Amino acid sequence: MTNPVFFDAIDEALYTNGESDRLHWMTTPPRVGDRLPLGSRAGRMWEVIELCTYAGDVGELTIAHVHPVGVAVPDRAEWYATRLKARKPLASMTLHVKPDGSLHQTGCNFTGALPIVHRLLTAFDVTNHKTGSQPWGIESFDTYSPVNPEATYMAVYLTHVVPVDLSEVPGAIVLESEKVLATAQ
Amino acid sequence: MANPWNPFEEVREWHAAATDDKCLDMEAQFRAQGLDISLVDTETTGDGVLGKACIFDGPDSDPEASRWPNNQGDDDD
Repeated sequence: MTNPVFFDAIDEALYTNGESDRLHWMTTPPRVGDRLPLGSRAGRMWEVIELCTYAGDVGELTIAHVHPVGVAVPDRAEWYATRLKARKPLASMTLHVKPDGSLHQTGCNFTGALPIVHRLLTAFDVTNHKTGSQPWGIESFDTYSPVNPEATYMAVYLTHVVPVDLSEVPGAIVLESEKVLATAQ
Repeated sequence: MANPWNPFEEVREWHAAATDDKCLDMEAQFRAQGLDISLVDTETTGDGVLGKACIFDGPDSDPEASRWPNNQGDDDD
């Protein structure tokens, strides 16, 4: 049996072209010190600095905070995760996962709201500042709660998204110049 | 059979940013300007530069607001 492990940069600003958060399904969680690539940049490895476990009815989910090998790790007080916990105590993370287990999209909510089943995901056109409907909808979701009370998020939701034919959805807005996620293709 | 899919349309105020951290900075900036507005959600956009949508709500939130009067667009620092 495999469980989801979300590799999350301590500082997202350090991602370069092709690098991003990653979701892997693993039989055993990673360990601090483990290294992995997070994108297409050849030769650059990221190191697991800290692990945080969340438990759910369907198993455990691990968030692995990672940082580029060879780059000084910032003091924990400077981490986004630390700032977030102080500013947004109701923060939850949502991982939208496709039927093949790959990560489609991520999000965070700061009001304690749950994912909404049967809602289409939102497409954001940053160039024209418009929004529309993605051809992906939330079919169901799993809830994971923090094992450690010092965890950043009050919950992590893993939603199961499925492809939707927008032509069959009344009211769906298809952006003419939508910039959908490459994984949605 | 009724179609179960809800085509949610985002109508809250939102601005694009490079990282989630920038969304928090944006909220602090708006509040420093005296706006009663809160960061309520973030979503990834798929854009290669402005990869986050920072979604705001509150009494002073306005989906049509131009928060950068010099027409610099969304924060991409």
